[in-house]
Amino acid sequence: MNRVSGSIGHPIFIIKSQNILRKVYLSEILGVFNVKAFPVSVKQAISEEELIRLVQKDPKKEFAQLYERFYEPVLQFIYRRMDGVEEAYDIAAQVFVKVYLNINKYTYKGLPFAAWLYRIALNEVTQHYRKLSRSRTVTLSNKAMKSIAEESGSAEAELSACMAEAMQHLEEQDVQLIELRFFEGLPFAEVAEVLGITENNAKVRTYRMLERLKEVYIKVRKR
Amino acid sequence: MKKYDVKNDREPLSAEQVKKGMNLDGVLKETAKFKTPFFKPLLVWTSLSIAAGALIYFIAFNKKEQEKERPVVNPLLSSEALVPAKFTVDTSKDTTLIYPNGTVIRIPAGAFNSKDGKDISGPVEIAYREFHNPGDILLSGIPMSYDSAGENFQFESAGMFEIKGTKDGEPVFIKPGKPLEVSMRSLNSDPGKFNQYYLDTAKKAWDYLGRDKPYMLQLKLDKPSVQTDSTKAPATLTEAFLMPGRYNAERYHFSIEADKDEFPELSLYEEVLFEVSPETKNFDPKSVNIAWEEANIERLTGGKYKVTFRKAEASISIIGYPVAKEKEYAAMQKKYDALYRSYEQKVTEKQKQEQSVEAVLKEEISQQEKLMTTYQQDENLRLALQSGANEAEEVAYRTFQVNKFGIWNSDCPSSMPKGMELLAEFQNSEGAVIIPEAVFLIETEKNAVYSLYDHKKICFNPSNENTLIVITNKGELAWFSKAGFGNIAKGTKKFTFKMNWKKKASYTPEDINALL
Repeated sequence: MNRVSGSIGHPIFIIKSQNILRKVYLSEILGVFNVKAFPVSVKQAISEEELIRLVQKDPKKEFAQLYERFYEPVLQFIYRRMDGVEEAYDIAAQVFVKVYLNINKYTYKGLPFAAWLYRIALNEVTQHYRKLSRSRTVTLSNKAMKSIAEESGSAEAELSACMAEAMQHLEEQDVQLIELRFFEGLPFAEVAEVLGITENNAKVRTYRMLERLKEVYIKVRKR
Repeated sequence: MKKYDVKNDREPLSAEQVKKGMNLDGVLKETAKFKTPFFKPLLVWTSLSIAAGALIYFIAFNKKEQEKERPVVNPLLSSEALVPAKFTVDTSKDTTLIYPNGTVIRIPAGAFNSKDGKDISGPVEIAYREFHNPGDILLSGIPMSYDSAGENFQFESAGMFEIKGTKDGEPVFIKPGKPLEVSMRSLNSDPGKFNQYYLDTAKKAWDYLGRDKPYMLQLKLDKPSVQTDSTKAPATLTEAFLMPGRYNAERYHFSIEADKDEFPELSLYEEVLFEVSPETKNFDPKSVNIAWEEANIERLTGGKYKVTFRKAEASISIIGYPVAKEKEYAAMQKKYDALYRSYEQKVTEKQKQEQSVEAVLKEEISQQEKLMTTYQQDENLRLALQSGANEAEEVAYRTFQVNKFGIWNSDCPSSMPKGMELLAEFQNSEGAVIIPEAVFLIETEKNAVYSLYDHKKICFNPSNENTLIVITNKGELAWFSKAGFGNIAKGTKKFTFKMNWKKKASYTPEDINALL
């Protein structure tokens, strides 16, 4: 018996879908009928935009959904800037109170809703430390050190070793940029949204901050 | 004290810890506190505090009343430059108006009624003007603040327009279901940044209408290229779901195992044989018994396949079609029928989906064609479009369905500038104190005019180029240049702005734009 060889996937139909003309393969059509092993259809969660719309329409009924979806990222975001977990709980609660009270003023701008939440959270964290006059917690991520080292032109091992000390010489806005861009891994558009600046400005500030970090790191290393 | 308490690679909170912190009821209870009626605490106040409260209330009320009296659109400088273009429209027929910059206004026949809902016939006067740059915005007096999340945003603009309609000096209204269509030529072609808003003068606030998507129009005289479906006709059903034929004992047969990914239709059934078609030329029955080393299969039309067997230099090609013996045939037929039904259902769904996509596409094409037709037919528009633009340049149009007269914009909320905060005082060049009526900050890189409501506290971003505009309480224009901002030392907390002066009876947008 001979095995037939050849290229896989001869197009069978040309179907126009979502304004895009594309080739549809027989195996793809068969997929619908569960003849082969196909991905199980999962009920899609509603989009962020839709969820916000629902909450804005009826906050009493729908806010729980929003809370469920965003509580954890907001709490973790706050915790990375807090000494203890109880403090983080309190701040997170305050953030969601503000979210509830102001949700109708939120305008979807094409960015993840979390960016807006982080912005409120960052304001709350700043206010919290302002009241306490205490050192603010910064959680370093060793995973992010490689990209900081690459972008600032520093040696990763040395940078990691003296990063904690170097941070002490940076301004709050520089530290926030490092946290958002490298430790949180946010794209510039979202960094800009959280800090309330333009995307271009976020980029410019980040590169200036990296230059400053490099200068500080060189000084610290020399000691 | 160290500035930062740096912790290395702390573990994130566990799922349990996260769950422990969740307290939706607590959050909701807390929000309720913000809704406590104002009169409740009054019950326990002393008479003194009542008097104080009453005084505060009286002041606040008066301030509110003053606010009420102040018009929403409140130009602070006198200007004759922003005069609207006026058109007279015959309400009995569809009309297309062209604003000098190329904006297209389409008015359907019978679009207007009076305040009491009566149809308006005869000529109607339309007044239309646009605002695109900081000079336009500042002179217009249109409020550009937008409150979101308790934070004051200011609009960055991709263009605004004001449209009004009158008959014999009396305002007319747009009839429900007869919106005007304004395709505003925008100086910003960003496809996803801007939203559409309408200025609700009663609420003194902007109503968010939805995302704004510009149309790009190529400045060429030929029609826009519209992608059409030039694909081949779909393959036949028999190629998609093959139903084997009945086994003919008179003919030769062979079997092969086809690749399931490449020929799934041949893998649907077991016990499928290939029957040699009479089309096979020079078929040698003995070749069926040779142990061939390689076989290639190729689909032909009509459910037939061409199978080429090879061994060393020798090869034969056989045209065949799948068949099944009688005992397997009924089961295969059943499976085929089930597949066919599902297929039909899927095709119907696809067709529905295609139809809705087609409708959207048609609408977009029709919009583009309308613009193109107007553009091609109207010499004024053509000249307007071509002035200041290259032949091949694309221009952005932002289309509004205008269902009421007033001010509309395509804008994006932008945060108030941050970075430095100065306790400010304003003086003229002779050292005399200036009392501002309004203070505006303009960043060169943005098409936005920030209203700084607290005149004593000037916040700005030192990384950007800034110009400060002050409208004095005498209705005069004073400004502080971007070069001046460059000389403000880092860390400065208090600053006296030595303002430059411009006194004119009537200002133009160019007067403002020249300062930036």
